[in-house]
Amino acid sequence: MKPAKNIKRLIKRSDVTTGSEVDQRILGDALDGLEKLKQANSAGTRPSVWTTIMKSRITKLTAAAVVVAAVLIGIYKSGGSIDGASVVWGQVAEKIGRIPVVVYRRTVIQPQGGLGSGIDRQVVYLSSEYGIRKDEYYGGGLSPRDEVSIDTSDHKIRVHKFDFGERPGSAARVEIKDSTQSPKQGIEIDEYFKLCLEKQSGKRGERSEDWLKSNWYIFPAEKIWFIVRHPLSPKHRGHCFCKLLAEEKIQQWYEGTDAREWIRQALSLHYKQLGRDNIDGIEVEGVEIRGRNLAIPPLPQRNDEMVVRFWVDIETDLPVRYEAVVFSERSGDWAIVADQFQWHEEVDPSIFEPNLPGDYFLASVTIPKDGQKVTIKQGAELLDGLRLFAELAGGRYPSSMPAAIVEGCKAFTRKYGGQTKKLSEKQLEIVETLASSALFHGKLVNSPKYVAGKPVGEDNDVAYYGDRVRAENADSVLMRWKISDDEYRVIFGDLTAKDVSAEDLAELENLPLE
Amino acid sequence: MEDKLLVLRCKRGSTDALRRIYERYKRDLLILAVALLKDVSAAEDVVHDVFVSFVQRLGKFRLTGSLKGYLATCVANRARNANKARRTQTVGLDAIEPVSSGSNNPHQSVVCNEELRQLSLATAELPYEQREAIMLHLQCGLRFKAIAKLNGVSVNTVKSRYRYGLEKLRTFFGEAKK
Repeated sequence: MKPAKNIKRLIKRSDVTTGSEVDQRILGDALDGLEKLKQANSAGTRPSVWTTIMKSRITKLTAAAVVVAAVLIGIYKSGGSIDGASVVWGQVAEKIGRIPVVVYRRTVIQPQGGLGSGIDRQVVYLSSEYGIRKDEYYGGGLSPRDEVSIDTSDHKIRVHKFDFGERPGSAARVEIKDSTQSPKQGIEIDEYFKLCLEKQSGKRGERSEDWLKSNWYIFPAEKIWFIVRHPLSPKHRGHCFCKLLAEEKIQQWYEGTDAREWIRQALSLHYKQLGRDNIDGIEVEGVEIRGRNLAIPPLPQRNDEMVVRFWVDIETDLPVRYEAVVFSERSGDWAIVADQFQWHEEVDPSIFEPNLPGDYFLASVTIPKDGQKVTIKQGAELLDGLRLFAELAGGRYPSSMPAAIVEGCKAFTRKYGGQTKKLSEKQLEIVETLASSALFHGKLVNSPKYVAGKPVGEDNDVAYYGDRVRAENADSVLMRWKISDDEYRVIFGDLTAKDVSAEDLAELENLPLE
Repeated sequence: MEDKLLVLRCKRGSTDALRRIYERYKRDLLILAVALLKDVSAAEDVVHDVFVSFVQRLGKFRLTGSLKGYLATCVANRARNANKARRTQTVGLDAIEPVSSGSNNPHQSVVCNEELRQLSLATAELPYEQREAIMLHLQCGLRFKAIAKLNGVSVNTVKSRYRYGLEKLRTFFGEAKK
C-alpha cells in the first residue's frame, strides 16, 4: 500500500463543480476589484501641462521625431536592434537563477602535447532539486587521465548526484564513474564511486554524528553491484577526505560545474559589450571580461591573461554560449566552451539515478563489519576475509585484494549453487567480510606515510602473493607490509602472522613454494 | 510564460485575462481549500478572498515563480488562518458544513465529487500541518523548500510532516481496504 500513490490518484480524480452563483460571487468580486484598480490608475494620471502641450499637432510631430532619434541613438550605442529586442544584462543573472534545470555541453580544449592534451567533452545535467550528473566523453584515446583506463573509444565518467541538504556541510556528494579497473586481474569492474557525506539518522528524534563514505562497485560480468558504506567517526573524519570535502570544497566543486554560477560571477565584474552576433541561427548579444587573476569559475584563478565571453539570446535573455580562454606561456593556451544550453522548468528525476538493469544483484553492506573501525595496526579484518575466502575456494586466496569480493561471490556460487535474485544473508556476510579485508589492504596501499599513526617513510611496501600462494603453502609469504623502518609484518599461507626484519623477509620471499 | 502574459494583461485591466486565470486555477484551489478545511463553504470563502486579494495587489505584484504555486500558497495561508479562527470559535464548530458529494441546488454551491469527498475524509484525521504539507506537495507541486518558507520552519520539519502524514494515511487506506 503506497499512500502517496493513493493520494495522488485521489487528487487526480478529485473534482469540483462550481455553480453559477459561486463563479459570480468569486469572479464577480474579483472583476469589481479590477475595475476599481483601473479607475484608481486612471485617476492617478492627471492631465498636466504636458498633456496640454502635446495636444498641439506640431508639438506632437516634433516630440515624436526627437523620441525616434533618441531611440535610434540608444539602440546604436547599446548594440540593440531596430525591433526593440535587446538583452537586459542586469536581468540575465536573476533570470537564469530562477530556472531550475539546465543542460549544456562543455568542451575543454587543451594544448596539444601538454598535460591533458586533446579534447574532453561533457554533457552536464544540473538540477536545483536533484543535483548534477556529468557524462564525460573521451574520444579517440586522446585523454591521458591516469585514473581511467582508455580501453574503449567512448569512455564515460558520470558525476551522479549532489545535494546540499539542509546546509552545505551536511551535503551528499555522489560521483559515479564508469571505469575498467584492475585489468591485470582480468576482472572488469564498473566502479560507481560515491563520496557521501551524510548524517545517519539515529534513534527517533536524535541525529547521530556518524558520517558515511559510500562506494558503489558494479561487476557487469557477474551482474552484481554493491554499495559499501564506510562509517567514519568524528575523530576519523578529522583526518580523512571528508574534511577536505566540507563546505568550502563542495561549494567550489559545485560552482565549477554550474554554468549559471559562472555567468553570475562574470556579470558581477566589469564587462564590455560586444554587440550583436548570430550563433547557429540565434540572434545574440555578447559581453567580454578580460584581465589577469580573474576569479570566475570554472577557470582557476592565476596570473595569466584570461578572457571570458558569453552570448545571450536577445529573445529569451538566456545564455547560448560561454567561452573562457587562458593565454599561458607556461602551459599553452587552453579554453573551456559551454554551449547547446537547454533551460527547463522540470527534469526527469531518473536522469539522476544509476538505473542499473533489474537483473543485477544488489548488496548493501557496511564495512568494516559490525561498524568497527579498521586499523592498520591490528589486521584482524584481513585475516578473517582471507580465511573465509580459502574456505569457499578450497584453499585458494583472492588473486588480488581488490578482486576479493567478486572472486569470493563466484566461489560461493560454485560451492553452493546458482544465484537467486537477492543475495542471501550468508552472501551478504561474505561480502562484508571480504570487503573489510579488501579495505584493510586498500588502506595499507593508499596510506603510505603512516603506520599505526607513526610516520614510517614514504611507503608501506605492501606485497600480496595470492595469485600463487595457497592455504597449503604454510610457510610461504602470502602478504607483507612494513610496520617500522626495519620490520615487516608477514602473513603466511596458513594465515599465521609474524613480524620479521627486512633481511629475514628477503629470505622468506625467496623460498620456493612447497 | 502564458501565466506571465495573463498577469501582465490583468495588470493592464484585462477582464478576459482575469477570467482565464480564474477558470484555469479555480478547480485546483478549491480542491486544496476543501482538503485543508474539510468545509465547502469555508473553502469557497478562502478562494474568493484569494482572488479578490490577488486583484487588489496586482499593482505591485511581480510573478517570480509559478502562478499556481503563488495562488496555492495564498490559499494555504488563508486556510490556516481560517482554521485557527474556527478553533477559537467553539460555537461555530457545530455549524461546519461537511464535505458532501452533492447538493440540492448546483447553481448555489461548490459540489465535490466522490473522490474529493474521500480525499477530504482521508486527510481529515491528520493534524493540519501534515495535511497542508501533503496537499501542497502532491496537489500543487510545491517543493518542500517552498512549503518550509511558507510555514517558517526547516525543510526537514516539512519533510517529517509529509512523511508522518503519509504514514497515517497508510493506516487509513489499509483499514479502508479491509
